[in-house]
Amino acid sequence: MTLRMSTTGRMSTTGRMSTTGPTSTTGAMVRRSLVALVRQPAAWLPGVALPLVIAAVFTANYHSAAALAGFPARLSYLRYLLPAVVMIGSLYAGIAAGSFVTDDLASGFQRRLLLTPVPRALIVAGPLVAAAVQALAQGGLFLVVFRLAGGGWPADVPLLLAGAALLAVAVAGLAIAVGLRTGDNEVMQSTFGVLLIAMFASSAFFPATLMHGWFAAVATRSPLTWLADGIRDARPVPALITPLALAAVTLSLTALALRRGDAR
Amino acid sequence: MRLRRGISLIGRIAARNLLNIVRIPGNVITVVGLPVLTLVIFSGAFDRITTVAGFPTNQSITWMTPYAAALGAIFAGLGSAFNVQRDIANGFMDRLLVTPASRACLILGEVAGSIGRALIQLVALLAVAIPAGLRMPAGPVALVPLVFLSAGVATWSGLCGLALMYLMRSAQALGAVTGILLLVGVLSTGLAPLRYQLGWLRAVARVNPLTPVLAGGRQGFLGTISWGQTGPALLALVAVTAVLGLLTAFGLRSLTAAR
Repeated sequence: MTLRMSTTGRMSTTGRMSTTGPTSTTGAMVRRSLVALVRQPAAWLPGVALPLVIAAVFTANYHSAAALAGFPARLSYLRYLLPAVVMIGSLYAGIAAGSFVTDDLASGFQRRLLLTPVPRALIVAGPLVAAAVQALAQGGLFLVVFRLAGGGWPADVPLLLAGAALLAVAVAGLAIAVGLRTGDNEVMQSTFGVLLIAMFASSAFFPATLMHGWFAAVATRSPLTWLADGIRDARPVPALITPLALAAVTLSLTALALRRGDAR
Repeated sequence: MRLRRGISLIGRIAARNLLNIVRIPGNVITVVGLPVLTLVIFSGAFDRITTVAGFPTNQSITWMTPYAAALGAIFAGLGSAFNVQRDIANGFMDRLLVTPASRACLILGEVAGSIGRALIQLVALLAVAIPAGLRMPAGPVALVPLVFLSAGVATWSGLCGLALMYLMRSAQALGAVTGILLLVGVLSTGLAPLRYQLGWLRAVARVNPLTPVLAGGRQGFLGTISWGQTGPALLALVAVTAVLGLLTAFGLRSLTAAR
């Protein structure tokens, strides 16, 4: 869906978007992001395929890790991996949101939006909500696939989905800030690689208690460890507070980028 | 005379390929950073997996170094595919095609560039792995099969990238090249030996040509070097290189015909 602006500063999609009501403006921005997401399979398909491929390959290689002393009792390696898989999906959803904003910046659409009376915060509201929705949908799909593959259900399904959605918003905040700052989609997308590496240096794929040396020290202190373990052990405080705190930081960066006028 | 000119042309194309490592800053990350990060991350995160009974080594860095070299070589070949994509997009390839240069030299030059990139990565990788405790029961000669592994996989990756770029001629082909090469990389014995893998992966890894090449490259780090491991590795390297070479030549002919 393309937003068109009239010379009076009004924008129309299928209908008209009034610039007077923040609720309708937010609704239009969110709708635009969601429609763009649904219409471009390239924006969500890798976010579904990559985590499942990683789960299949890692489980096929490391299933015997569950027999190691110190591995969480009563968990198969597949079951252990579920939070990691959901988190990778969230990373991807966040990066897709960043890509959406960076593309808007490159095409000049962002500049036209800044000329309208739309509050700047609402400009990024659409991609942020789309990232959360994408993470929720992917998380639901991963739960079903894991259940069918014999991984069972996690201890707390709503907690897992909420953690996934909040992480997606946090990553989207970072990706949008990087996209606004650099205006370069390639640079923005490289944050996915950095975040994926950060996930390996956490307990997402392997228990931090089974690592040693400096790597164990890094993994134990990683916020991604608190999130993954919180989801795995159904502990709401680390599972929700960690991504909320990350989101607060990254959204501040986004706000800073918008205020500095990087979007121009 | 003709041979000397051909070798000179291959050298110049390879040098141009290598020069892009420093001219495009992002390339330093993929050429040096990614293989080293792969080594550090996998040997750090899955260190304890080597304590599972019967694992060929109890030191994850020893198991992972050849795999990181293979993944690095895959990235090296991908770099050549990116170069060719840029050349096609900015018209440099058209200019190359109207020169009297042999088509084989154009391919071999990029492949030589891929091998050069892979060997740079290997040096960076060993500079981290050896101080971190990489074991070589066979002695320094263990590095010889590793060099073959690195150069051979870079040749595969370079040829595969060139073939797809010549045939598809678009930036979208880069996604296909990356996906295919990374799948070959992960569906092998890179992370764990065959007998520890689940049935479906074991079946795929058994027929993956990267598996014997990895076994050949690892042998000097796990024990002694033997023809029993070296022979299948060399056979796989030669056979896959021949197939991909033909495909690349066909791709370049198709690109020439389309221009």
